Order: sequence, then C-alpha cells, then structure tokens
Amino acid sequence: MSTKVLEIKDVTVSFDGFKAINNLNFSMDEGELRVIIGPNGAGKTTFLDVISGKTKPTEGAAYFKGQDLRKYKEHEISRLGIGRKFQTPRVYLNLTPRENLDLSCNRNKNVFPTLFKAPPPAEKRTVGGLLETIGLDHKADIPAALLSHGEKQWLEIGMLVAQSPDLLLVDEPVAGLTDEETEQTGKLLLSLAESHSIVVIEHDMEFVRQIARQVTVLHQGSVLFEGTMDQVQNDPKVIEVYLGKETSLTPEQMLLLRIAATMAWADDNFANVQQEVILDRLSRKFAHSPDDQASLRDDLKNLLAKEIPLEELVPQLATPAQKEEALMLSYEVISANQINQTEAVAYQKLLSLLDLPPATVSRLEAAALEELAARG
Amino acid sequence: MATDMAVQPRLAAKASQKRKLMIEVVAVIAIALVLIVIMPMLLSGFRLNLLGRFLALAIVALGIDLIWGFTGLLSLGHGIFFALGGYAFAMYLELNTLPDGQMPEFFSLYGVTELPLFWQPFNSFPFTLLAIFVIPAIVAGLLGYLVFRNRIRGVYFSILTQAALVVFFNLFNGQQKLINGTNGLKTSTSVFLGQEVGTPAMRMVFYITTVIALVAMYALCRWLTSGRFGRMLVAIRDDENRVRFSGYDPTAFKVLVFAVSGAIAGIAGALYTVQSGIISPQVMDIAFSIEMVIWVAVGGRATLVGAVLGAVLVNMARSLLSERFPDVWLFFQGALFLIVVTTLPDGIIGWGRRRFGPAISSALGLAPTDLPYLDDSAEAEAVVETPEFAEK
Amino acid sequence: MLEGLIGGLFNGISIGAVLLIVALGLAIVFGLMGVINLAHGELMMFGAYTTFVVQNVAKSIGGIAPEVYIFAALPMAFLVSALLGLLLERTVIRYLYGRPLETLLATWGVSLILIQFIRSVSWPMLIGLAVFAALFLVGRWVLTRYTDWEQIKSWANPVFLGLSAAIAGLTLFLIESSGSDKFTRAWFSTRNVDVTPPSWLRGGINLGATLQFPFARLFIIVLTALCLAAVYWFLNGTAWGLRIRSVTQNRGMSACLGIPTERVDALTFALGSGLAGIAGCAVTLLGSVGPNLGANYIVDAFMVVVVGGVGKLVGSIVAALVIGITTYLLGSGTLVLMFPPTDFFKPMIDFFTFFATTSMAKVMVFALIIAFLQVRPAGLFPPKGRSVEL
Repeated sequence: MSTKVLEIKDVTVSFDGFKAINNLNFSMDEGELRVIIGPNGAGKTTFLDVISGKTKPTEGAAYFKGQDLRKYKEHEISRLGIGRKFQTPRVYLNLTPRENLDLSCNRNKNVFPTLFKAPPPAEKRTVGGLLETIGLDHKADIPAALLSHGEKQWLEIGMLVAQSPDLLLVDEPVAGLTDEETEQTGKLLLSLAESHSIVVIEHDMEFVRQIARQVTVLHQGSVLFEGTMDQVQNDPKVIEVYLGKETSLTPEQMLLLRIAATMAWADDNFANVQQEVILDRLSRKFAHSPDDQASLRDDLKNLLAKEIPLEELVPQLATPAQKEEALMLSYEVISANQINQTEAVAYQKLLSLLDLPPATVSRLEAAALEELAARG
Repeated sequence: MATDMAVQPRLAAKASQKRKLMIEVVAVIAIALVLIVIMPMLLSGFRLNLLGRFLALAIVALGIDLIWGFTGLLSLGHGIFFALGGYAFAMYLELNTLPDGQMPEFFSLYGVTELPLFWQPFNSFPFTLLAIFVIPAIVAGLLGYLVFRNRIRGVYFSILTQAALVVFFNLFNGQQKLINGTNGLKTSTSVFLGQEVGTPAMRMVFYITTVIALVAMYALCRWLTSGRFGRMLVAIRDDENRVRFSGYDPTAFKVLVFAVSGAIAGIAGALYTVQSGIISPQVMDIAFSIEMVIWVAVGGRATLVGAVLGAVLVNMARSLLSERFPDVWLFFQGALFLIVVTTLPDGIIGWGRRRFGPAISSALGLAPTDLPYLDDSAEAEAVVETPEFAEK
Repeated sequence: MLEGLIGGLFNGISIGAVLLIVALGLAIVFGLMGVINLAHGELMMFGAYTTFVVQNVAKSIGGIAPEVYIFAALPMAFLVSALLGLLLERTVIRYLYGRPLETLLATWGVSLILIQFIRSVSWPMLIGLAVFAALFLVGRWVLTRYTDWEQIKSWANPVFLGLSAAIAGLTLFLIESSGSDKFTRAWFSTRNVDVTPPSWLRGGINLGATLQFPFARLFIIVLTALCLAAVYWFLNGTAWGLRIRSVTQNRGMSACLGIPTERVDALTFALGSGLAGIAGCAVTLLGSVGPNLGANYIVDAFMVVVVGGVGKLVGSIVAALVIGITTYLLGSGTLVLMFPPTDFFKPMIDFFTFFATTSMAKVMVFALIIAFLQVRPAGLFPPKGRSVEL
C-alpha cells in the first residue's frame, strides 16, 4: 500500500541510559538516494545498525517495505534485501576479489546449497560484470589483502551490489580516498541509484554536494532537518550544530553572505579588505545595536570559508530587493581592492544570472562605490 | 578487447588448476601406495604400528585444520571426540569378544549385573561403524550450537572447549560402573573379524585401513575447503560480521564444520585405539588436545598437507626424544609452541612455499601459488579500528 | 538443618575464595589486556614452591620462624611469580598482542617449560642456564657493539644461540658427571612435596556439634578479601592504576598523552602473575604441592572469568562465589538431603546422587554454565563500548 522503502517510527536506542537515537522518525521512497549527515555522535552509525539489525531499537520500530525489522536477525534482514557497507572497508582479506563477490552473489545462502551446488554460470557472469564495474578486473585473482584502501572500499560496494539488494546502506564510502577516487565513487553511487534505493552517510561535504538530492541532518539522535543540500547549508539550525555556536542568521542573510563571499573568492584571493567590507555591511544591515553588530560579525566571519557556485546560489534569491542587495554587496566587495580579470568575469556571470535591468545595475553600482568611499 | 584480456588468463588459470589437481591426485595415490606397500617392508612391526598410530593422529590433525586453520576456531577439546570414537569401537570389541549374553569382566568388579542400556546397541557392528563418527558429530554439533549461537568466539570458545574436555574427562574417569573409569577399555586381546586385535595380521589390517581412512578424510577436507563452502569458511575466519551482513548465517556453517571436524576426530580415535590397544580417559588429557593444535601449526595451518605432515613429524620427534631423553621432551615441546607461534606462523609448508614455492611451481609448469595464510595482524587491526561503537 | 546450611555455605564460600584468588590475576590480565595466560597455573605453582622453600629455610632457622614464615612467603611468592611474569611478558607476550589465540598457544608452551623446569631443576642445570644466558647475551652485546649488527643478524642470532647452547650443555654434562650426588640431585623432582602450615593455622573454630571452620580456610578467605581490596585500591586509587585503566580503554590515545604503554603492559602482567604467586602460596595450606598443581585450578578459574565477564572485578567475585557454592552443594550431596526420602522425590534424589562427587559436580556446573551463557553470552558484567573484539 505504501511505496516507502524504509520507514523508521519513533525509534529510540539507549545504551545504559544514554540515548544514541532519540525518538527518531524517518522515511524514504523507493528509488531514492538519501544522504545523512550530522556531527560526530549524532547517531548516524547507530541509525544504520538499527536498520541492518545489528542493534535492536529500545523503543519504536523500523519497517522495510512495510515489514517490521525487529523480528529478523542480521542475515535475515540482509536476505530481505538490505545491504550494508561498513565505515572501514570490510572484505575477506584472504580471498580474492572474485571470491569475495562470488560469496555475496550466491542466491541460496543456506549451508547445504552452498556446500553442494556449484556456482551457476549466470552468477559467474554477474561477478565478471561487477569486477569490471568496480574496476578490479585486472586484480580479480589476487588476495584482497593486497588491494589499496580505495580498492577495498570499492570491492565492498561491489559485494553489496552482488547481493542485489533493494536498499543499500553505505557508511562513509569515501573516507580516506583521494579526490579522484572520491569523484569516481560518487559516479558509481549515482549510477547505482538508478536501480536501487540508497542511504549514504558521509562527512565529506564536497562529496555530499556531488551526489545528494535529498539530505537528512541528524543531531543528538533525532532528525534536525531535511531538505536539499542548499537548504541544508543555509539553515541556521544546521550551521549552529556544525559550528557548535548560537547564530542569529536568517536564511536570507546566509544567502547574501554566500554570494558576497563567492565573489570575493573569485580571484582565489580573499583579501582582508574584502572581508571587512562584507562583515561591516551585513552586520550593519541586519543588526541595530552595536553589541548585536559585533556578535553578528563574529558569526559571519565563521561562515565565510566556503566557496559555492553562483549558479546554485542565485536562483534562491526570491525578491527583486534581495537581488539588488546581492548585486550591490558583490560590486562593493570586488571593488574594495583592485578589480582584476577573474573577478570581472565572475561579476559578469552574476549579472547575467541576476538578470536585472541595466538601469538598476548602474544605479546600484554607483551606490556601492559611494558606500565604499564613505567607509574610507 | 577488455573482456578478451580478462578471459585469456582465466582460461590459462583454469588449465593450470586442472593440472594442479591431477598432480595432487597422483601424488596422494603415490604416497598412499608407498605407505601401504613399501613401508611394511622397511619397518619392523613395532615401528609400523607406531607409524599407523601417527597416521591416525594425522586424521585428527585434518579435523583441527578444518576448524582452526580454515575457519579460525581454536578448539582445545578435540580429545572428547577422539575419545568418543575410540570408546565406541572399544565397546563393540569388548562385547564382540564375549559369547552372547556375557558381560565384560570389569562390571563384576563393581557389582554391576546388568549391561547398562547404552552398551546394548554396541552389540551391532553396523551401529558401531556409524556411532564412531555420528556420536562425536552430534556432541560437537550440540556443543557448537550452544556456543556459536550466542556469538561466543575467539578465546572464549577455546576456553569453553577446554572446560568441556575436562568435564568429559571427569565423566568417563568417574564412572567406573558404566565405563570402567580410569582403567579404560583394553582392546589388544579383543576379537575382531574372528581374530585377536593385537596380532600382527590384524595390525596390518588396521594399518592399511588407517592409510585408506587418511586418504578419504584428506579428500573430504579437500572437497570441503575448495569451492564456495571452503571460501565461506575462510570468510568466517576473516570477518564474521561481514558474512552475517552478506546474508549468511555463520552459526550454521560453524556448527556444521565443527561437527564434521568432530566426526573426523572420532574416526581417528577408533583407529588409534585399536592400534595402541587401549582407550582410557587419558586421551582427554588437556595437554593432548592442545598438542593436536600444535601439530597443525608446525605443519602449516590452512594447508591440509601441513596438518598431516605436522602430525607425523611431531609425533616422530616425540617418540624419538621421549624414548631417549624423557626429561627433554617437555622442554622441546614448549619450545616448539613458542617457535611456531612467534617465528614460523605459517608452519613448515608456509615457509617452504615462500622459500621454494616459485621454483617448484615452475618446475611442474604451474602458475605460482599464493601464500596460504596472510598474517591476521592486519585483520586484528581492522577489527580494533572499526568504530562501530564510536557513537554509543 | 540450619547447621548444615551454614556449613555448606561456609565450605562453598571457601571454595569460591580459592577460585577467586586464582582467577583474580587471570581476570586482570584477560580483562585489561585481552591476554589468555595458560601459564597462570604454573605461575601459581612457582608461588607454591617458593612457599615450600621459604618454609624449609624457616625450619632450618628454627625458633619462631616456622610459625610466621607464611608472612615472608606471601611477598616472596608474589615477587617470584611477578618477576617470572615480567620476563614472560617481555620475551614472549608483547610480540603477540592483538593475537589472542597465538598468545594462548605460546603461554601453553611456556607452561610446559615451567613444569619441566620444576621437575628437573638442579644446581648443574641452573649453572648451565647461567652459562648459556651469559654467553648468548654477552656475545650479542659484544657483536652489537663492535659490528654492524643489522647486517649479520640473520645468521649471527642462530649461530650464537647454537654455540651458547652447546657450550652450556657441555658444562652441564661435565658438572653432572663429576659433581657429588647431593649436588647434582634435582631440587624438587617429580614427586609432590608437603608444606606444613604454621601450627596456628591448623585446627579451627568449632561451633555446635558438627560445625567446624578450619583456620586455614578462614585465612584464605581473609587473604582473598585483602587481595581484592588491594587490587581495587591499586586500580582505582593510584596513578599507575589510572594509567592501566586508560591504556585498557584507548591505547593509542594513552600513548599520545605520554603514558608509557609498554611499561603499563609489563606492570599489568606482572601484577596478574604476582597474584598467581599469592594464590599458589595460599593453596599450599590445602594440600601437597606438585608440578601439576596449576592444571587442577586453571580450568575452573577460567570458568570464573567467563561467567563473570571481563567488564568488572565484581563479576569475578560473584561468579567465584556462585560457582564455589554450587560446586560444594552438588558435590557434597547436600542437595540430596534437602529432599524428603519419599517415592515422589526419588528421581530427583537419584539425579542429585549421581552428581554428588567432586568430579561429577564439575560436570553439572559446566552444564549450568553453558545454560547461563545462553542467557548472558558475555558474562555477568560484559565489557562495554569499544573494547577488544574477541
């Protein structure tokens, strides 16, 4: 009746009174790729433990396609169609990648069929295909202990796929991988997402940005926020959790800040004077008393570090007033030190994205220069 | 193109595997023939009998290798299964020697007038043949099930098997009225197939049976450890949790392999008993069961040849040393444990493969062999590193 | 009835106290380091033999010495076993951390060597050993000093080992063939020796007609309690105890904070071994002392650790007492007396009578332990969090 592939209802897991998961509700649709983030100790891995049967919920229940998972043991849950990859790669080190995959691929995992039946050709072909997919066909017959860390990660993902599960639980797939490997892993997961439902836990925000459509943020064992990556990055609650500090910013302020910061970063040189301009302008704009302004400045400073493509940020500006604000601030920022080639290019891009009338643009530019002059 | 590249070496590997199997079959048959035909000509009756006993012990070593070398479960209680097999056969021999209706002599010493119930079935030879390996398998399976289903592993399992061994020792040792306690059952004067067990002819029969049983058990273990099932055992050794999350129930596999291992030990026990002439609770001595493990370790765990070789070599060394310098034997044995564990973790076979493996392989025209047993320190590390509990 | 119950309880507790004092060292070494030490029983045996030697010295001194020797024997036994444990840890066990099964086998090898050592130790043998150690160590020292050791290590080590062993063996042979009989005789031989307890530990308190509390058993109970208190204080009240606990929880972090983890390991192992020595000293009060003394206790002690769990010392205490009392009640046949001798209870009586010997009681206790583990697989107090996966 419901198409939810996974539903978690009011789950609490406590270890000696400490609630690793606290009244958590969660659900996802068939075919969805969901990324779960959250600071250390948010309960991410315990969340996977509950689904995969490693930990039983103290209260509440988890449902997979409507079936209550509490009744099943780990291997039974796995047979229902839930595959899990661990944080550190866990493959059978004394077996070759081919044998690793072959074991996962086995359709009938009871003792006697495993003993008496030879692997059918179809399964052998699946294994061969998977070896190619995960790029290990040239290392298929050496012990897995000799693989690199990244190759082991891939092998374990391959083993998951070999189980042909409906739901993949992937715990930090890119921890310890190089940038290139990370990107490859992202592509792999995206291609898998076409035919599987996937839950990914990850810390690497670049990577999350690459693969995420829908993101769930866990904090202290409950869902803090759910939405797209941009919503997540601009949500004050999330920022507070990640930076561990109270902030008074609204999403609107966040957005302006991000655009300005991106402009400032355009030439790969975030000059001090640019930072001063941004902080000064925004704090004066959004806070009134000097005390508030000072604390806001501090908050803003913490958030300036990240560079995000304009294409993602600009469309989120809702009203013309906001657009104008963004333009003016940006112009001010790049003019604060010498405008150079790359900054000019970035600015042009911003202009085209904002799509404001030329008259408005020149009016705002003039106003911005005035502001700058006034600052001295 | 890419597929061609992948297929080519695989076909070559398959051909090489076939060749390997052929060589192995020929080698095993050749060794068996040497043992059956040539050894009796070279050795005195006494020495041949000793060799027969060692070969019986080599059968237990195969069983130990199956669960320790391949599956990673260190059993210190195989003496139980060895004894059960031995007692089963000895009980049959006791009854078979006597005219129908009479009871073994020792019963009268303790005033037992009626044959205890569990002795009755051992009047039948077919039952006894089955009992020799079925009873140990059931006991092992039951013990294994009760332990494994709670995920008791590693040293806990070892300690519990050792405790079980002590318990069975007490059980047999204390029950004079049922099984003649400490004295055990003598088989050397019993009659089997119309002849006294201790006669040279009968000894020859048992010797040959032992060689055949060894070959059969070798083949059984070889079959179990190759193919998917064998890889499953290694997988359980490497990472049991991964196995579980891949949809297998490790408990079932472990119980089965422990039961098979127990059955093998039972067969060995029966063959050993008739060749040594007595079975007593002494075979359930703690030391004897740990010794079995060291045979495998000396030969090279996770290699079946190693288990056989180790059992024969260590026992030969034992009979040589303890005959001449009884004091030195324990020192030697202790040192053996230390040396094997600290400097020769792959045993003789592992060392030999590393040293001479490539040369032998190329001489026989085979693809190079992988190392048999990768150091599990990496695995241990992985286990410790895994921060599954980090968030709890 | 009441007397029987109190008597049974007392005897059970005293069995439990012996178990506990034996298991205490094991529990520490296993719980804190994850090491199964099968040579624990033999370390105990060394403690017992130390007591025997101290007693002999006391006898030769005469006077009050034979009455108070036990107070000298306890620290001596602790010291001897602790030093032996230290040697064992430094030379063998530290290379095997993280490989519990290998440690188990290696320590079994050590236990065999220790047993044979006690059986055949004599002056010539000791001299031979000293010659060997001196030659080997001095030879290596000279070589490391004056040559490029790393380069010649691969052949020099075995050559030196063989050479020193050969010379030592020759020395031993020469001494043995020339020395007087008294000089070359083995110290203890394979026979059991008897330790005479001080006279004040013989006898006991009599209560009522049948009840007797032997002083020796009371002494062991008190000793066990003192050891427990001392261990508790050491682990929870001293700087080194804190270090031991921190290394148990997170070795890497402790090392980063400047805690000498190697020294902590050595200390922990020495402590566990020393406690084995004290246990050895204690059991001399109960019976004779032989080379196989350790084997009689070790399996039971391991059961205490398994049932107690490795999380807390209190687990070992409870487990030891429960196992002790159960063993006594079953083994002495006290349970049989609990049932009125009617036909209705006949099967029960027969059942318990079957198990009413010391060895059969062990069978029953083991069955109970297996049953208990079906409910609590990790023991009474399982380790929590991220400890060693076994």
